[in-house]
Amino acid sequence: MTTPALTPRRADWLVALAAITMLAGALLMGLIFFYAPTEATMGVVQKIFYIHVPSAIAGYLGFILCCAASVWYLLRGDVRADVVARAAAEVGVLFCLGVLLTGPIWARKAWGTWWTGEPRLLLTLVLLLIFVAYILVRQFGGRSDLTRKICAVLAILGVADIPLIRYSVERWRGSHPQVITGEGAGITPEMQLVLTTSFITFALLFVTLLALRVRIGLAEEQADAAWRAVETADLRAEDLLDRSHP
Amino acid sequence: MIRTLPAFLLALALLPYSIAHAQGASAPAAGGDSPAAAPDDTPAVDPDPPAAQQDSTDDGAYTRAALERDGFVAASEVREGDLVPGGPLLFAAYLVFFTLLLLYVLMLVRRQRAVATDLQGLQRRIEEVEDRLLVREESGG
Repeated sequence: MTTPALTPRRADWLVALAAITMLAGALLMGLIFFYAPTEATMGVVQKIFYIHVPSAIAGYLGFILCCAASVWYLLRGDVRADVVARAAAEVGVLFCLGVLLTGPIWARKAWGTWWTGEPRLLLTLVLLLIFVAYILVRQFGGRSDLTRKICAVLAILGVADIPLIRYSVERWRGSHPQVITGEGAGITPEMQLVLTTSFITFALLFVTLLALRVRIGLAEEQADAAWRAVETADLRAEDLLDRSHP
Repeated sequence: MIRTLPAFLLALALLPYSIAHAQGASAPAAGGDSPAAAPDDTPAVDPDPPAAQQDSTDDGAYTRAALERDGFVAASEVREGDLVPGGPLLFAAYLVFFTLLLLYVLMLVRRQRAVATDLQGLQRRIEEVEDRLLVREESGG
């Protein structure tokens, strides 16, 4: 008696999505470096804007998705929601880290300093640290229900920092430029085109990385459940055989 | 995913060329209402000053001396091209971002392999349990 081979299934749609994302990324790089005009005040360093802003949006999206999935997990106890929450937190941290590393590089040129203590920057750093803590607890806290619930609550509390960042911009202003406001973006049409392409590309990148991570997370959960099922079945079978052939 | 690495490395290799091209671009365009303008009173810097303004005999030493001096420095003492360079910073920002992305993708590849190894172990364990139970059943316990 043989069992069918256990190998991860190939997901063609994910391969196609990754290929489309790479093509969009190549197009974006071309537009940024060969089409987008150089900004008059800051020069070429302004081109950091095209990865900095979409990264920030993708980071927020990841954290909000993590929060929503955590609420779903707490309400329904669905492990799949927990897997999505963890994946979204990781992808959110990746993009948020991108924001906090590219931002100071821009600031060095524009402000003459790597970092300032303005509320928007500090609150974004706090947001990043909260979700880094989330990932660390998930990584080293095991897969118990208690760990999952603690992390779900941490994600919900952490996301409360996002409205604070928004409020800090309105309340204290600070020196961070407000390019995109409710009245639109104050940039030239060429810059607008590149920025829109950048948003689309980052959305594709976000979905690709999230799908990949969720797929791996689900496979890990299923493998874990299968191990437990096999060991339990083994013990029961041994017990039954012992009883039938004492 | 690991197959995309050559393309990624190629893209990284092309990045300096792209930045060099962007730096050598024609006259800078105004940024609309220039919302991303430098805050505070930091002097605005043109990354490509006209050739006439550049002193070919000066290696920038007087600029560094002025910047290292305590107190105020007159704008005329500082050659524009000797202030914070934009190109290397732009290169650094994109390099950092792509490196982060690459590291995360490599982490996912590692996890994927770990899951595959785990599934192989699980398959071996299932077969082992089945064989043991069959042998025991056939031998009547």
